[in-house]
Amino acid sequence: MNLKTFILKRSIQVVISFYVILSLLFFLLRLSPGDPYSKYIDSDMTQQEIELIKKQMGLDKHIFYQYLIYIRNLIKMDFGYSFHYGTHVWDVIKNKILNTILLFTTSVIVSALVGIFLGRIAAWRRNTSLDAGLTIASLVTHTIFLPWLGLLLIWIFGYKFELFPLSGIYTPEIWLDPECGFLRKALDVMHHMALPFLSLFLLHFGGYLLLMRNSMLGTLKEDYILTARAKGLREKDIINRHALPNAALPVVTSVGLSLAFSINGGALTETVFSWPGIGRELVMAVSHNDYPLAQAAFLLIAIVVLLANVLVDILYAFLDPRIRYE
Amino acid sequence: MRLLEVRDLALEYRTKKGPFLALEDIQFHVEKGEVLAFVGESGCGKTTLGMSILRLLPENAHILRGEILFEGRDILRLSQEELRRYRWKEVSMIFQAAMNSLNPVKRVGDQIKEAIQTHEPDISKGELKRRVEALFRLVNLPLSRIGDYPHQYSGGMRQRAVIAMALALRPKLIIADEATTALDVIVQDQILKETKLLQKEFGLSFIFISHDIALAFEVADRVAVMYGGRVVEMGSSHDLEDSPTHPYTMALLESYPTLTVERRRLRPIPGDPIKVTGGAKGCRFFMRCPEAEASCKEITPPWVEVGKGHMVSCLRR
Repeated sequence: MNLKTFILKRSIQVVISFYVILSLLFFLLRLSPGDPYSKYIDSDMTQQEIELIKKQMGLDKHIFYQYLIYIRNLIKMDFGYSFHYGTHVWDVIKNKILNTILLFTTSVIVSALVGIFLGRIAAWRRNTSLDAGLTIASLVTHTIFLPWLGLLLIWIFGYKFELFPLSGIYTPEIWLDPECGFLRKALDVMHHMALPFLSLFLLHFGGYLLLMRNSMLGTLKEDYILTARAKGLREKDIINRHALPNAALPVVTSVGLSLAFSINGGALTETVFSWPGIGRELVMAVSHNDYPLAQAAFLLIAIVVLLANVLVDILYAFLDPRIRYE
Repeated sequence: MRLLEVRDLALEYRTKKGPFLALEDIQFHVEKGEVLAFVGESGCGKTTLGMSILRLLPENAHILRGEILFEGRDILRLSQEELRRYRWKEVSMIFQAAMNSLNPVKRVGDQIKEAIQTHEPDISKGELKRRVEALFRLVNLPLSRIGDYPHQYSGGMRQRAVIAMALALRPKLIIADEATTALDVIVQDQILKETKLLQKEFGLSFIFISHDIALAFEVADRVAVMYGGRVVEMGSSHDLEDSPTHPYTMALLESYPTLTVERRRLRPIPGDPIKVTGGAKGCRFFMRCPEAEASCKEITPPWVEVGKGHMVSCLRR
């Protein structure tokens, strides 16, 4: 099987998985307690008026008929209108997802880079106080409860020292000022981003550090490392040329999937920092029974994660010659 | 000057369960162009001995005393940089489990090139390529496989590649640690014959480490039998094969099948290998020896010369 066949085979798997996910999603949302229309119904409404509301939402039809409409609309790439906002779901999601990528994807990238770098150092200097310090620091920050950490950071840097804003993503006065340029707006967003970014970074870098460290330590026990040492290679070259390419494999999987899942956002982080991202929107959409919005957001996440899996598999083939899918 | 001379080497592993004496009173030399074999059961210290010549021991190994003189230089006193230059250039190694001693994500040819480049950083690309091709020819590997990865090789091919790598810098001494144990007998025989030819052609010295005493007799000029971290008998292959003297050597020979002698029952050696925790008196083989007396437990046996260059360490001889 060559790479082309492999990609074809995986694509078929992705399509099947995606179909299963979108069907499960449709029925799970409708099985969940509550309904989307009750909050629009007054006690003095007539039965006709209630039926009209249901009809507007398309909920008067049989559930399997609704399912067929749902499939038909998905094929047409039409995600429908949000019950809650009344606007097209894509317009709701678009802005939120960009905010989420800005904060969460950036923090995954930075914490992975820092974690891998420090993890390599910890493995190299194994059993020294530097290694112990890095390992303990990672264990502490990686297991900390994020809302607590977030509130602590807000209290210290936002409230006590007034270095950073308490919440939100931008200062309205700056953005409403017509003379304000792009650079000023960008700096304003970065200023708002600092604290949530710092808490996500602290939470995540330790995970990558420990993964990299352990993977390196496992690799350093391999026979081919002994061969490299016997060949008279410098310790630096043994680490970089022989251990690293092998130790990187599990880290690639982990970072690849974390990147994909980062578009998921995080409801807790977004709530603590009042960050207008997709995570909070998802929780709201589910609790409001806003079917179209929840469906669109979940499907978007599903497709990104599915594709990331395929990409990681392909990347693996380039990093590890033993996996050539042949 | 002798190529390699080891004097009074003692080494212990410091484990959580306490110190474990892996080598004691090790005394031997290797001449230029000579093949010396070390044989003994698992855990007798033969691999540790091989590793200590290249100073590739794990962190918990501590050399208690002794000297390892390579062309008169004490390897144990080399600085890290001197050691790095000595490794592979002067002494190279064919490892136990040669299957895993190639890096799976690097091309075989590149791994051999790397060994050359490390010690000859100024070598040109063309010269490097020519050298690797010559090595592949030398060990009968097809040149078309230079760019392959180790997993694309068969076990025998990997073994040849590892031998080519060991020959890359024309070292004076090669340590082969159970180099062919994982291969089937036909491939093993082929590779040993070829290696023997190369050894003769280049005047290489070999330290051949094996658990297989019959194989050792076949390839080595001299054989040293190890038990419990000590050498118990050493002499030419002929002498040891024809007149084994130490009870352990005799037992070892009886526990192996042969093709030349009439069919007979194999005799396993009763008991378990010994674990020495340090400073033990007496003969190490005492517990399992059919000829042991009370004094064997108390007195460490001295070396006795029973023939020219045939030494044995046993009170009963």
